[in-house]
Amino acid sequence: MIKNGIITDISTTRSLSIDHSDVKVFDAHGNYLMPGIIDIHTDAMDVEINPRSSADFPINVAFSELERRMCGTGITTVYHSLHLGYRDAEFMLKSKYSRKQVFEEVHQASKQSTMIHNKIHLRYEISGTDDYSMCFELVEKGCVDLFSFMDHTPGQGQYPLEKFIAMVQKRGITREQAMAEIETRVKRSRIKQVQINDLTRFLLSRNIAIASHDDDSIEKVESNHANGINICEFPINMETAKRATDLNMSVVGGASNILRGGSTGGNLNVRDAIEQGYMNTLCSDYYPPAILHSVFMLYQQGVLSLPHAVNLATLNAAKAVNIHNITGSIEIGKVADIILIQYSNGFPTVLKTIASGNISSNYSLKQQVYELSNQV
Amino acid sequence: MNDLIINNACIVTPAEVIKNGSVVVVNGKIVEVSDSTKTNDSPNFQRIDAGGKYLLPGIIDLHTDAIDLEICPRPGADFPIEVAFRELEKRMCGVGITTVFHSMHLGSREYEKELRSKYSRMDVFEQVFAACNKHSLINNKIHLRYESTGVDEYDQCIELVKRGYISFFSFMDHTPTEELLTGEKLKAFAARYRLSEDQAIAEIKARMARPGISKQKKSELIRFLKEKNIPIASHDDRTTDAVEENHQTGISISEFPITMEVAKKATELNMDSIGGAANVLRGGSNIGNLKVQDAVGQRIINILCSDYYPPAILHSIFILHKNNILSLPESVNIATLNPAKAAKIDRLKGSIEKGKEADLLLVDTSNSVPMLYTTIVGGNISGEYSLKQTSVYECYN
Repeated sequence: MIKNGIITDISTTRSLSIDHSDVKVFDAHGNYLMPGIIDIHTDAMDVEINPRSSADFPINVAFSELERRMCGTGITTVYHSLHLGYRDAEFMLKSKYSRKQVFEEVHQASKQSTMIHNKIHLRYEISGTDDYSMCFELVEKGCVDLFSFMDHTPGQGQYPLEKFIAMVQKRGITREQAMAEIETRVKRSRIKQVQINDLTRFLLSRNIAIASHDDDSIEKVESNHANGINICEFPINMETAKRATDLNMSVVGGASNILRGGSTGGNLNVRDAIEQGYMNTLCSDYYPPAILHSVFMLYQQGVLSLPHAVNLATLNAAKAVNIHNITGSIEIGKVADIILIQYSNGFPTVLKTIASGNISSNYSLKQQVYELSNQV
Repeated sequence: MNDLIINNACIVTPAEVIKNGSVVVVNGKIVEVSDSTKTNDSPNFQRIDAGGKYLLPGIIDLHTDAIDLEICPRPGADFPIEVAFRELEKRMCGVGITTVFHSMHLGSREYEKELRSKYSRMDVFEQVFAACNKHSLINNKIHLRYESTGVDEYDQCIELVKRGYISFFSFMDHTPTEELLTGEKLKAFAARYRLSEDQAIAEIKARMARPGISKQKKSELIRFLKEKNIPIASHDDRTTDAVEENHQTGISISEFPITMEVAKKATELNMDSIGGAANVLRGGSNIGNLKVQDAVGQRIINILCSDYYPPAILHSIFILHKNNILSLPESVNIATLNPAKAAKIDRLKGSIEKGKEADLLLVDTSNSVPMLYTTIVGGNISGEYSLKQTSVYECYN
């Protein structure tokens, strides 16, 4: 039972009854009722604004269309991951919008009437030295709810040198050109360790959760942990994921990896990491529907029980970003962020998505297939 | 089921807007459109109070490249085809598209190279077609985009049509011309593929040297398609001569004409002329071609498709109306009735008229962007959407 958007009662007996006429009653027909998905890393927003290089759409249009898609995939809280300081990503988008404009307009849109809860995850590339002060500014303005440090310099993280060369060669360029590209990128200046520390302290003072991206070694994880970073996002190998787990950090993997059955870049297999207990949170990364499908795949393949699989996408994600007191599970006193799932033929379908007690979307399959021709 | 009474709607018919109107749906078909409130005590009817919102016919999208991108959102990152299909039709439903012609290429080495998919093109056609015929949210059809340098795939085209997979066909020819070999165009090409100018020239020349199917083969294919009553389009027409030639060979649709002259010529020849709604929503072409809003205003583009951004059509309908380019019925027609006619499904679809299938949308335009509340397909309420109120319990102040 839900009142004013809060869960007030849960019963294991067949049905709750109520005498008020202003209460909406619905029969779930035995389908799964689970907490709404919390997605702490999805790159979909920039793609929605710029689906093709240099083809920008109005940000408010992209925002409302994207949250509608998210809602349809069972995500009730999303942390739109927006990069800052990342020249290579900016080059790919060729957007007319400045990064600042994207942050501000997305933030503004998230404060209007919406279908789901929209938050911002600032992904800061540490070679973006010119954008360092903007990180502070955006946090001061309340535009940031989750922060991550990234370093995409070739030679570490997800790009060991040979892999980077192979990747860019697929675009048809020569090895020499690839080496020149590496040199340019390696030569870029980065913010100093002391600046990282200052920024980290500032974020912690604002209660903003901090993640580190693409960690590739035990040492990196240990140093991050010592600095107050509590989330290890996309660890590259099992040792790193294990170390982060030992240190009680949240360890985040991409659900796309599970749905596809492995990494496109040949990195850590997320399913294996979960099976071994070294990964406790799923995010959608670059394919929003992936989380829900992955939850049911992990369950169907016997990797986890259904409640544990669901936790990866809900309660654990809520804990990582410190909102687990308000949402992330179906418990009395929590906000009613709930989804209704029909699971048949190994295939989960989102029927209803409820955010703060509002039925934000409701889908139902049609029965007939009409013949589409004038010939009939 | 699929019996509905919708009251208090602002109904957009092909010719007019009916305020406080009502629509009665029985067994998935529209049986009455009226300017007064309807009551019926039968418990079979589901009742919807539109609250004064617009009631539009569902959008018919003849060209959207979204399916391949949904299957392969990043190069080499393939997802299961049925997952991609289901997720995409849910998105389409959410943007008001009730009949989609998934545009799938065949014979294009460049598109295949960009996707680097593990699936063969035949796999994609077969699995998408199988999914189209299961229970679904909207009506899903296939538009085969055939690149005419795909000499090896010619027989597959015939095979796919024979199997009944194809509801719309287009000829594409992305072979570059001499002008790409110099100046700004060369620079842009090199930058796009991150090649040096020499490498770019070599690549362009290699593409120019590729043989295409013969004129005779093309006419045979066209004859075959016409026998099967499949509508045929030509893609990216560059010159009025090309349009005239297409018209003579029996092609009835010009898709994305590059210039106003070409669009004008197609219209004069009584062909359908399709523009991308993404172009309207963005306020122009991102590669410097024809501005669709202007062409629509001059009545030389009569159909909008979503091209590469599915939400664009619904937004464009209201942009064209707001910018006084078209009346609301006219701007709705270019997304519904006109594409239905081009695809030869207008006997059953494309407008709110007695006897047609109840593919309907409820849209509110009181905010800065149009908000779709309900998508009805064949009388089934496939998707319903609403905005939450920010409450005191809102944890995310």
